Amino acid sequence: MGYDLDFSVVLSGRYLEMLLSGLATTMLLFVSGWFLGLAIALVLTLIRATPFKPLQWLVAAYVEYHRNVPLLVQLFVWYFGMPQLLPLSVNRFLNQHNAELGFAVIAVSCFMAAYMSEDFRSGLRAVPKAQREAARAMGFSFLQTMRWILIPQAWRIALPALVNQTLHMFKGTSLAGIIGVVELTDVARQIEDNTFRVFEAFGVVTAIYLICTLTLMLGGAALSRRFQLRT
Amino acid sequence: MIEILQQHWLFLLVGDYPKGPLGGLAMTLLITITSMVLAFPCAVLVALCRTSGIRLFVWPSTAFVYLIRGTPLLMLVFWIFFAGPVILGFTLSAFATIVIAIVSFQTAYLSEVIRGGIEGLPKGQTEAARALGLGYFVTTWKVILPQALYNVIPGILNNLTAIFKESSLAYVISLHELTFAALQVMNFEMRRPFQVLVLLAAIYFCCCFALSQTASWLEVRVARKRERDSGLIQPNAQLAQA
Amino acid sequence: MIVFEKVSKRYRSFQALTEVSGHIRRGEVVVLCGPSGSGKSTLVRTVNRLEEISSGRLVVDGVDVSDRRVNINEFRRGIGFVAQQFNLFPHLTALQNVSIGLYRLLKMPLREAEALAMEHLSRVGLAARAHRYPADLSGGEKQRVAIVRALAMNPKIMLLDEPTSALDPEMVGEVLNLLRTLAKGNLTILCVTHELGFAREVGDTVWFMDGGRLLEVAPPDRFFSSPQHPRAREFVAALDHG
Ligand SMILES: Nc1ncnc2c1ncn2[C@@H]1O[C@H](COP(=O)(O)OP(=O)(O)O)[C@@H](O)[C@H]1O
Ligand SMILES: [Mg+2]
Repeated sequence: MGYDLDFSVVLSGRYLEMLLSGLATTMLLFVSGWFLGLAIALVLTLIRATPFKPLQWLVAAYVEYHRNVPLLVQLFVWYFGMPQLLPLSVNRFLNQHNAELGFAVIAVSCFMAAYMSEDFRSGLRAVPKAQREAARAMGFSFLQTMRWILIPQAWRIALPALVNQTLHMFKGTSLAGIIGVVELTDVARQIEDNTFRVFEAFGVVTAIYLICTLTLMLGGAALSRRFQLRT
Repeated sequence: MIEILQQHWLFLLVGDYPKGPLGGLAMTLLITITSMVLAFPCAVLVALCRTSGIRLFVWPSTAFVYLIRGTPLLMLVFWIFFAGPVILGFTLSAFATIVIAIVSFQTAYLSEVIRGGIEGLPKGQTEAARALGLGYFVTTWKVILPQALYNVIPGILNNLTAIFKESSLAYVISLHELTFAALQVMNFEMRRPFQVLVLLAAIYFCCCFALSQTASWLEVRVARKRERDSGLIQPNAQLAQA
Repeated sequence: MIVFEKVSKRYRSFQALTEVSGHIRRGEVVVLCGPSGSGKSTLVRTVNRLEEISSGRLVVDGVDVSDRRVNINEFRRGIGFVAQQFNLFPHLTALQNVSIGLYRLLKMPLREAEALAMEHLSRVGLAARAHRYPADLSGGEKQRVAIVRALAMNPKIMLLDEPTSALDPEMVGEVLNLLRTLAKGNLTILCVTHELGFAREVGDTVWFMDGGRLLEVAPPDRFFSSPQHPRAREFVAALDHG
C-alpha cells in the first residue's frame, strides 16, 4: 500500500494540544448534557405523574419530537433556527460567547432528557402494583411510597436502559462538530486536513472514543449487575 | 411555512430529479431501504456467529459488535470517506460511503436484536429439533430463525427508524438527501431559517413516528401471539414423538 | 373490634360484596372461607380501606373506615396486612423489609429499628437470613418475613389473605406454626384460608362467603361437621374430598 504509519506527528506539539482540547470539549458536552438532561428528565417525569392531561400531552409531544427527529436536525433547529427568534442583542451576545457550544449543550441535554424521562417512566410502570399496595397497607403515604418503595425500584429497573442511552448520547456529541463546535471528531478532521495523515488522525480519535465508550459499557454493565433488582 | 412547502415541495421530495441527480426525501428513502436490505443478512450472520458457541466465530463477532457500538457513526462515515479511497485505490461515491457506514453500524445493532430473539426462544426448541435428528443448519434455518425473526419484527422496525434518522449524516459528505435539500432551501429562504428547519423536522417526524407507532403496534401483536403459542410449544414430547 | 353493617362493594357493574354484616371481637380469630371469587379478598381489603366500600358502614376499632377525616396512613399502621404473594420489597434485605416501617413511619432511630427488627426475625428463626434479599429466600421464609414485617408495627389487627396458598406444600407447616403462635396472643385476626386443620385448631369462628354474601357464621367444629347453608354444605363436602 506504501503508507507508513507515523503517529508521532499527530501525538505531539500543536496536534496533541488540539486533540486534548477536543477531548475536553467532548467531555464538557457530555457531562453538562448528561446532568442537564437528568434535571430536565426528572421534571418531565414529575409532570407526567400529575393527573393534568394537557401537560401530559405536552410532555409526550416533547418526547416524541426528540425521538423521531434526527439529532443532527435538532442541532440545526437550535443553531440555525433559534437566532431568528431571539432579539438582536441576545444574538450579538451569543456570537461573542461561543454560541455553537451553548446550543450544542442545549440540544444534547434536551435530547438526552427525552429518552431518560421515557426510561424513568417505564421503570416506574414496571414496578408491580402489589408493591405500591403493600407499602400503602403498611401506612406509607403516597409520597413516602414513591420515595422509599417505588423510586428505588424504578431506577434499578431503568438502569440498563439509562446506560445505553448515556452511551448513545456520548456518541451523539460527535455531531456537534457539524455546527462548528471543535470537539474530538472535528479535531480529527482538522488534523487530517492539515497533515493528510488519515489513519493516524482518525485512528487516534477512534481509539479515544473507544476507550471512553468501552469504559462506559463495562462500567454500566457492572453497575447494572450490582443494582439489578432480583425478584 | 405552507408557502415554503408550496414553493419547494418537489425539491424536498426528489431534489433536482429528473433534470439532475435524485435527492430529497426520495434519496433518504433510498439510503434507508438499501442499508436495511444489506444490513439484515449481515446481522443474521453475526447473530448466528455470536450464538454458535464456537470460539472461532464468537470472538470476532463479539469484538466487531463492541467496536462498532463504541464508535460514533459520524466517525465511521469519515473513516470510509477519507480512508476508504486510500485503501481501495479508487474513490467511493457519497451514496456508497453512507450506505457502507450505516450497514456496518446497523449490522452490529441489528445483530444484537436478532441475538436477543434467538436467545429468547425456549431451550426445548433446539433440543426437540435436534432430538428429531435434524442437523445444525436445518434446525437453524427451519426452526430457530423463522421464530426468532418473527419475534423481533418490532425490533427490526425500530432499527429501520434509526436508519432513517441516521441517513441525515449523509449531509456532511454532501449527498443530496433530505437534510441537504432542506439546508439548500434554507440558504434560499434566508430570512426564515426557523420555518424551513421546523418543516424539515416535521417531515422526519411524520415518517419516523409512523414507523415507530407501527413497531409498537406490532409489538403488542407479537407478544400476544407468543403468549398463545407458549401453550403449544411446551409439550416438547409431542414434537419428539412425531 | 371490627363491625360490618350491610357492607356492599360494587366494581362498575359487578357486585363483589352484598350487604355483609357481622362483627369480630377483640382477640377473636376469624377464619374466612368460601369458593374462589366469592369476595373474600375484597372483604378483607375493605378493613384497611385498600378497597373503598360502596355502601353500608364499617367500623374498625371505633373508627369509621369511610370517614374522610381519618388519617388513613396512621390508621393503617395499626392493621397488619399479609397477602398471598408476600410482596416483600425486593430492593431491601429481610431485615430492612422489617425495619423500614419502624424507621420511616414510626420514626424510630435506625439502630433501634434494626435491633427490634432483628429480634422479631430471630423469634421466627430467621436471624441467619436477616441480611439476605427476598430473591434469596424460600417461599416459606418470604412469607414469614412478610408476617414479621406486619407484626413489627405492633398492630392490633392482622389481616391475612391466603397466607399459605402460594407456598410449596413442604413450606406450609412453618408458616402455619408461626400463625398458631400469633393466634394464641391477643391479636384480632381475620384470616382467609382453606387449611382445615388449622382453621379447626386456632379459629374461634368460621365465616363462610359465597357470591359476595356472608352466608354462615359458626364455630369451626360445627361448621366443618354440620354446615347449615346448602352452599356451605357443598363447599365442606368438596373440601373433604379434596
Ligand atoms: N378491581 C376489580 N374490578 C372488577 N372486579 C373485581 C375487582 N377485584 C375483584 N373483582 C371481582 O370480585 C369478585 C370477588 O373477588 P375476590 O374478593 O378476589 O374473591 P376471592 O378472594 O374470594 O377469590 C371476583 O369475581 C372478581 O372477579
Ligand atoms: Mg382471594
